[in-house]
Amino acid sequence: MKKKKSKLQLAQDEAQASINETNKKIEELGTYSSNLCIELNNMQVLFDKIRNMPSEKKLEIDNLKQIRLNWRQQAEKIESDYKTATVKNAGAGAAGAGVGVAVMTLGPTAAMGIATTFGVASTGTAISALSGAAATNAALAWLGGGALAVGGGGMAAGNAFLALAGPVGWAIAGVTLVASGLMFWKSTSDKNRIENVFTLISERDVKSYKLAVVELNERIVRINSESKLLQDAILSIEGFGTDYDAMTEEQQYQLGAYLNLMLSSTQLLVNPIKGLLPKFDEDQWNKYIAWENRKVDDKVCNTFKSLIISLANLLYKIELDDKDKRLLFKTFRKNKKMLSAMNIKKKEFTEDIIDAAEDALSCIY
Amino acid sequence: MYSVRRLIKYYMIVPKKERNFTMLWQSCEPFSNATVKRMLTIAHGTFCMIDVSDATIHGLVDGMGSFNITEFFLRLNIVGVGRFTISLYGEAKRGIQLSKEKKDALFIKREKVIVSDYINGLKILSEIYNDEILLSFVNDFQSSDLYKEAFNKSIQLAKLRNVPENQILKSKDDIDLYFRGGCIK
Repeated sequence: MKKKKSKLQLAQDEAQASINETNKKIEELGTYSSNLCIELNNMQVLFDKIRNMPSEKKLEIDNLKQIRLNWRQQAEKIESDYKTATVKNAGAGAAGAGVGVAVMTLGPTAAMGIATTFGVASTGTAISALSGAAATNAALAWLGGGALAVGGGGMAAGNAFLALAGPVGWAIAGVTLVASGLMFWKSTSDKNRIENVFTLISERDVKSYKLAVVELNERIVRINSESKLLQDAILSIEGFGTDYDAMTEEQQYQLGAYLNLMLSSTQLLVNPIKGLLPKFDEDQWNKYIAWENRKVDDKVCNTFKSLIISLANLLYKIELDDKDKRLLFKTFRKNKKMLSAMNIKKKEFTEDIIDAAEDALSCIY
Repeated sequence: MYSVRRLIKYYMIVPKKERNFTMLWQSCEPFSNATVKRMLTIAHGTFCMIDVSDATIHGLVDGMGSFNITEFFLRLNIVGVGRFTISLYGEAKRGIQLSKEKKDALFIKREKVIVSDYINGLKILSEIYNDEILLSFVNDFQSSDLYKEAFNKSIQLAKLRNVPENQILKSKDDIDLYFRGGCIK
């Protein structure tokens, strides 16, 4: 007879199903995003004609175009980095195979969906190594899940753990990583307690994925409708002619409104999907460091910053009592794989780090 | 006694408008509830204790120095002991059930925190994507002369979508500047 699945296993199954659904939506988003980008470029061409810009001024006026260029470059970078990472991973014996959150065939369309999902800098400046890297890493972590991250597909061991705590969540990769940790508990009650914590983490991640699907649906509807809106606007603008000063005041206002529409629609390509953003990011960390009620000293904060951020992501909205915390600490400490993924020695990993993560979270709640 | 006490309590606590016979009976019936069962367990236990003591004393007295096991069993209320065992079994079962339900309740309380966070997320999304009226500016241009108002809607839409503040065209001067070859930075 088939063994009845535990609450944790059921939660993990649900998480996997939600991830699959999210991926389908991301791919769909990519298809529509590509169409929107074409319409936005057509409209820009029309505006450039009206503006009658001399060629030497082209670069200066490209400020608005740069955002869309960033988006396209981001998609291309994700596609090429993913291919490199999968090749490396295959070479490493496909470590973590079966753990992968979303190992999908990544074509240009899906890459565009991924780029939009994880956001693109909308500063109008070219993608710098820093601004692009965070989003690209988040995207890669999502694509490869535990497989790429833990397997070391282009990522350093320390970064693997950080990636897990990001948009990938712990539902699949992280929980699998600590699964061996559960074996340490001989007492059923302790084991149940830890299982409950990880079930809650999985359930929280499922909710994040569901939120992402809701937003992806909204985004797809808007991208689709605004592509049509832009098409109509282009037809309308073409009827105005190209001499701005010869236009009526109403037509000039209309041009201004369409430019604002173009900018607003561009944001549909670059604004990230909130459900997949890390729950505790660098900005929140800075807020925590400046927090006057902070209980953890500077030394711990400075030494274990990345680890504290990761654990804060892991424990976001998870209520723990003292016993849970103690068990969680022991689970991590006894798990060599986990410690190696966290890039930390057993001696260095103290309860203070978990306390710091909890303290950091209490600052943002 | 139990029912009378509960009856008085019911009339004291429940407001007149909310009183009904079903609720009254449920709160007063002297069976099918844990309190009565606990009372019965204690009563059975007390009787059993006295009965076992009595049987033991008789067993010792009749045994004349040794224990007369026949006298002990003849004196023992075996049915009473059986009833007490059943009561104890019921108590243990209810205890385990209660502890399980407490754990479940605690887990549900923790799940509630996660669900609340999800609902907050949905509320934020509903605000971010509440742009139907703002997008209607396109139709406004075609159907009315209120083109300045339509333009203002496009500004609000850009703000809602987080377009960098310095890139949004906010006035006629901005429009003129941009379309006469100026630069938005």
